Amino acid sequence: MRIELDDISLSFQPGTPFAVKALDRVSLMVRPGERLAIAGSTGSGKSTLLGVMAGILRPAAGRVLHDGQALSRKPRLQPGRIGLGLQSPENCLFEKTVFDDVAFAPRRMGLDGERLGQRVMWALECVGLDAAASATREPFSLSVGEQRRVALAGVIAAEPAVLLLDEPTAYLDPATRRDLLERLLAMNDERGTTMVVVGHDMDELAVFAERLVIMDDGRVAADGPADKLLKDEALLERYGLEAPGTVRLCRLLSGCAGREFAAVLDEEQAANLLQEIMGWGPGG
Amino acid sequence: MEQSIISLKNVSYAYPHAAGDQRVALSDITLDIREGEFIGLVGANGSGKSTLVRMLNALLVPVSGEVRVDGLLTSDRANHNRIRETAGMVFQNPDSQIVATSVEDDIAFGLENLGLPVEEIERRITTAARRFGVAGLLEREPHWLSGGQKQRVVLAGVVALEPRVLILDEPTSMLDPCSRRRFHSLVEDLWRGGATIIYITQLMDELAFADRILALDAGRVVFDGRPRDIFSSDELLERISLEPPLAVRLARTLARRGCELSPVPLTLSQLAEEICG
Repeated sequence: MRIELDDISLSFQPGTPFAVKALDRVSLMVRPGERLAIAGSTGSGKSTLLGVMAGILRPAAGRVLHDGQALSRKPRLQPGRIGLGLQSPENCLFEKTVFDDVAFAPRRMGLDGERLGQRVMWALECVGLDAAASATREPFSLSVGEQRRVALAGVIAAEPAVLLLDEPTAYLDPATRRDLLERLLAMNDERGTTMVVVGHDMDELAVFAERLVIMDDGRVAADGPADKLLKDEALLERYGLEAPGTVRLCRLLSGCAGREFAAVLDEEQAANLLQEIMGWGPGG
Repeated sequence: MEQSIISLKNVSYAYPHAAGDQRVALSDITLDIREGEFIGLVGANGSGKSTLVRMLNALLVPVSGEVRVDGLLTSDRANHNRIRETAGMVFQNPDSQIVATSVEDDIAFGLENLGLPVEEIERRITTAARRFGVAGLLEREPHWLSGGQKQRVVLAGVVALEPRVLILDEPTSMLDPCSRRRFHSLVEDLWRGGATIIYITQLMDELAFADRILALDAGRVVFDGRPRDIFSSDELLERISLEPPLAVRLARTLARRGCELSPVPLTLSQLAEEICG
């Protein structure tokens, strides 16, 4: 599915002394099958942007189009089209068991019996939960990190054409993070699922994203290929972001080895560079 | 011997649930935390980290065993106010901790409960708001702030209370990298000023300067030692779902290729220095 934002503006608490411009004339197109990451400092409009894309926040000005169709004033959310994972998704849990919570959207889409069971188990595995052991548990007996995974599984379980995820890896442990990113990449690769992910971890985005949008004060400050923007440390710092570790390392090495090294995003390449310097430098 | 500010003796805990859903959250934990220590608490999701820190300011009391904070038993309700003044806590989800309808009132809430004079309250609000970059948000309604801004408001509110022990449960998970760095240097300042810090995180990079790392797995302490030593056991790292920082990962790759770095660098600057040195 293609999502177009056409000259979108949106303020919170408009007409009061506390009015804040959350989005300011944003135009953006998300192409089908794309892996787009959105970064920016806190309060720059990232989450608002996701809400507008999903159609749950109505802009004060501008148009949102899904596959060329302008959204009506009260769009109906259709599971299977757009899956939205909120920032604190544990707040969205409501069923008595983990199974029922994850099964909510697939059930509404008409799945039942064995197919429903398989879908739920698949979604739980996607987020690194032991499906057999957790399905009968009460969501509220889980830790916050586990609750987030259940909520995320509920979003994924609908197998939506578009996944909009707001900091999906916050609070996840590193092993689960890596695993989730791999699963998301596989869904994109195998099913062509469009992915829009808000994140702060540039190392993660370097692995995940093809395209990066940087938000600043409600506006699009930069929009381009992720591997190019993520190597631009000055640009990232300007907007309160930090370059991926390998890029920072290349800068440190350039400083102390007395020659310039081009930034790399890949750990293997970084290791090659270190080896090269050790062989080349004194005592190597 | 130095005085322990926090001590746990054979602490076990299980959340009360419907039958069949009994799960032990903490199992026979004994440990002492000395005043002024910087402790990094790590472990997989569901390993008991949040349960453990809730024991440290009497939000939970052990099913068996005992917890003392500055000598006071947490099982005695009469001690709870003093314990909570000693140990301040920042929760995982800022929404669970915001109580007022303006940012300023929210930061003031704890201070008013301490019964401080008005001028002192105002001074502390101004200082904390400036430190955490929320001075421009004081009149705003917390409800309308972004996740990261809320997290900073909550931090300001707790630090304003100047607790001797500061418990931080994944406090930077929603912060952008720049705010995260600023937050780290603030915590480091508080620690150098004598505060005891207990810091839960999934990111080893955040713990480079910790004195001591505690790792939990299924409610038990499976590691208690220096940050450097936790990376020596692959089996342990896997068990607690921890990933070593980039510098350590690169040093390991080099080691596999036949170039050992000694000592193993923990940060990128250390790595660059060792390579170029």
